[in-house]
Amino acid sequence: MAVGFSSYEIARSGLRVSERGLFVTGHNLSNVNTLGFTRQQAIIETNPYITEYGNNGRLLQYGLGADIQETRQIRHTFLDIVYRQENTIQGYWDTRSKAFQDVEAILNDPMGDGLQGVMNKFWDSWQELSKEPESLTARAMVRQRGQELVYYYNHIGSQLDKLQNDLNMEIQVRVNEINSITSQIAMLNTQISAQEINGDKANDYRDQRNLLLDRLSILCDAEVNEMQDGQVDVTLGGYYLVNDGQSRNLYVQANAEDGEFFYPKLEGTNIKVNVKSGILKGLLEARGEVPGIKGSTENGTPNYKVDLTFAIDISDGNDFDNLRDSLSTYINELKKSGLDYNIRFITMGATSDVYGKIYDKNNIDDMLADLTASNLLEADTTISDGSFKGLIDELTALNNAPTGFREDAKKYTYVFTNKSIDGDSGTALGDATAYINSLKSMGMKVSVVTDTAYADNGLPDGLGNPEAGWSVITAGTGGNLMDINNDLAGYESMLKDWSDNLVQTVKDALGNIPPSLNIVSDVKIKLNAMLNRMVNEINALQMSGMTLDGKPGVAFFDVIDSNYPMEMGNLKLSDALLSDNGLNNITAAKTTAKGDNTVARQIANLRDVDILVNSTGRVSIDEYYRNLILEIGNGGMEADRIAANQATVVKAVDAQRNAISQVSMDEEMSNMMKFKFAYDASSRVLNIIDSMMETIITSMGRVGR
Amino acid sequence: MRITNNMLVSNMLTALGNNESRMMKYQNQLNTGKKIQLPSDDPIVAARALKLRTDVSKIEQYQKNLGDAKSWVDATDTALAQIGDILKRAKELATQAANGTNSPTETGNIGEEMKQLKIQLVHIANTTYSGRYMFSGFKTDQKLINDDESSPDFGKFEIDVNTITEKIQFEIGEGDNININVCGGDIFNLGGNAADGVEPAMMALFTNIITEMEAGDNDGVRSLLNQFDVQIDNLLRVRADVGARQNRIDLSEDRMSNDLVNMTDLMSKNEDADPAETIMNLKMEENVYQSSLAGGARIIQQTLVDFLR
Repeated sequence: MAVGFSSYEIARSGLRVSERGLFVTGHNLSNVNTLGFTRQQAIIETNPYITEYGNNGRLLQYGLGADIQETRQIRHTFLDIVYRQENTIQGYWDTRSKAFQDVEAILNDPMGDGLQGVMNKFWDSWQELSKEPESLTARAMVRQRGQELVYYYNHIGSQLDKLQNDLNMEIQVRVNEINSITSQIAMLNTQISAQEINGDKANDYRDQRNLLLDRLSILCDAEVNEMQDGQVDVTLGGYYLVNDGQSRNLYVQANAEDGEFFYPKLEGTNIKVNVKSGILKGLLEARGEVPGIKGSTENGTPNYKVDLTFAIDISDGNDFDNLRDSLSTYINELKKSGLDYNIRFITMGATSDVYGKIYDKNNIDDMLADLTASNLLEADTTISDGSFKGLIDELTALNNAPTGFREDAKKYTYVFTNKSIDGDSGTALGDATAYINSLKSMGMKVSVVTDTAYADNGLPDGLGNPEAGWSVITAGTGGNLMDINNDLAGYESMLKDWSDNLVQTVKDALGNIPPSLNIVSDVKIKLNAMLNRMVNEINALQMSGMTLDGKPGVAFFDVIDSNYPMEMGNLKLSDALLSDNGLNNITAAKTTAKGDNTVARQIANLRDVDILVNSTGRVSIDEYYRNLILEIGNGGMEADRIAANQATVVKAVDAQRNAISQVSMDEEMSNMMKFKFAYDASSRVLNIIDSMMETIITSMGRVGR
Repeated sequence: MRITNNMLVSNMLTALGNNESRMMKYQNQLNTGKKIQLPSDDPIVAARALKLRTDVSKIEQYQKNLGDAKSWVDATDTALAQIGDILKRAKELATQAANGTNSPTETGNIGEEMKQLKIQLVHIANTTYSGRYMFSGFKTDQKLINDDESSPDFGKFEIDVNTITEKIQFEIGEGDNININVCGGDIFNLGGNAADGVEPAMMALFTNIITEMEAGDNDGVRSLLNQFDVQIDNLLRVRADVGARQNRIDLSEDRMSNDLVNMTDLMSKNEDADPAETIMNLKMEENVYQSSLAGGARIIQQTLVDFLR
């Protein structure tokens, strides 16, 4: 091609490309401090060639200048994914670390004046009382220190409750934040796809969206998936939060079924969204993944619930007078224990029926009356064959019925029978194992009182399997096996043993909870267990002695609301202590003598008695509390350390990301010069072509004019 | 690696933040004098600190108990010494009265002094320590012996005191109790119990001897003489026991003050920050902080912008 106008185009395209390049550089420089801005690059490409034939028949290709292919973001998607994963973990541990700090600040031990100091002063006041049991000064001090202890326990309780509520409210705030982010992402999705449908790049919208996704990643473990059309889908726990231009909100629900505490759910459904990490998970665990209903044992209320079932086979004409006569012993032990019990009777055999009443602490005296009236043995509705299997079915039904066994209660069944497991027909070991499994799945402990003839495994049947004895059942469920032919004394000691065992098991289970990741709720459980054991032991000792006026001792501590057991926030000194002459009602003496200090000394010594159980075994109150502080300290240190390490990781990934994506001023300045010189050069080309044109137009063909 | 201006700035800020938090840690240690502020700073130190503080508080209480036990036992010992003096004087008088050369009037006069000794003895039996009757066992609010001279029951026990069960115990160490009182029966009734309305052996001796003296019966007095030795021996037995308790209290006091020093020392080693070390650390951190500030100022001052026209 000869000199022509296309040459102008080539030069002009150079000018245009350089100018656009400068645009991009300018944009980068302007946004050097914009959060989330990713540097852009004008990608320059050559224009299509044109081909023409040379004079000698060869093909020649000429370039036609340059053009901008796209304005590309310089971004590494893999690093974004890594950053977001690490950021999620960071959010989780930061939240934990902060929650531990809050708990530490509330307990304020050992460097501040915490519970330990208050307890020390309380015990010391009993020491002083033990030295001067009749002194009103010492008594006033005991009451004063008792009051302090009560105040402090209640104060810690309300502080922990407040912390829990704050965390709960924060969950709501965070869920709203997630909702706001996801709805913005959905909007940006639409904008990006609309703009990119014709091949453009919606760079600055993408920057905004990436920033939102980064923020979302610290909140929860949402998964992000970019589609072909440039839109992203966001899922959390397997549910879509953002799908193209649609976003779906989470909501938090607090209702009677789920308790007072929030749990994130998917809008329009009742589906709980399973969050596994991030700030949200950190908050859920810090608060405790518990329902939070007042009185719920998961959230710290001491669990004293026991469901007892007496299953009595009346078909064989057994004399159960011994049982009836000795049950009152059992009941009296139960009453003293402070347990929250339900007692049921099931009769087996010729007539078998669930005895119509459930007995608890409110109508327990009726039961003794009912028993004396022989009502129990006259149940008249026949429903079952009286086999052990029938009993298990009955228990299972009770376990599943809403009015049956309580979910978090310890369950015990006592079987009184004068037969083998399935009446008179033999029971194979395999059947017995099936019975044990279904009992175990209910958490039922079965003790059996039977004739020694049926205690051990019997002779093999035709297939060579021995007949199962009751010992298989009791050993399998952790119960006891006793001889039914005991005398009355034997029954009484048996029932006393059972009740002691039961009370001990329930008390031991109070503070020894399996390790979990919950923070505040676990601390509450442990502190409440400690408080409960401590005040119950003191009350029992108080009631074992005599007051200064020579009357039987009264409780030292009492509940504020009698619907709930003694726990933080529900503790006060008993009214008897605060009444007129209340100081006299503090019990220091075992006898009516005023100088008797036996009880005061026992209480002062209580701090060294191993009355609690934790993961290390039997421990005293001081050791238990120390262990709690140690656990909180360890948890806090772990969270701090991981959060700090994680911050380094996040920072390193972010640095890698920034190394690629952030604007470097030096680089942009160089680019600026690069484009400027290119622009200059292109304009020089234009000049040259221009002067060539001028030559052709003005100077050519003037020869001889 | 490609380094951008913002990376330099943010790295520098992070580094400065880290420096500052380390400086704050040492500042806090200096301000509070403690190595840790929260259990999570060092859970082991925290748990140990809690234990040592509890131990120290217990020891301090035991020391108070020991002090109170000591004064009670000392008061008992003083009263016992007085009883000893009275018995000695009574034995002298009785020996004098047993002499057959005394006229019945003289013997009767000695009997008058004997009466006074008995009254004194009754008052010692009802000695109080800070308002509590020392020898009345658990019944510290009741007189041990009737001290109404006009009453026919004068000199007899007014209450029951079981010498074995009514021992008042103070706790002077973990699981370590000491009996601080002496029951009236132990002293006055030859180690037996006190029973309401019964005349204690010691008083009975005085009553009998006064009767003999008033009757001017020298032989009668002489026949009772050896009983004073029985009473004195019994008293010595009780005093030896009290003396042994005093010893035990003294020893325990020594041990407790040693323990207190040890525990306080351990406590300090466990939780107190070493000021010299902390100041050195703080100074080092300050240096690092200064240099990172200086470094930061150099890094961000110049870019290519400064060289372009």
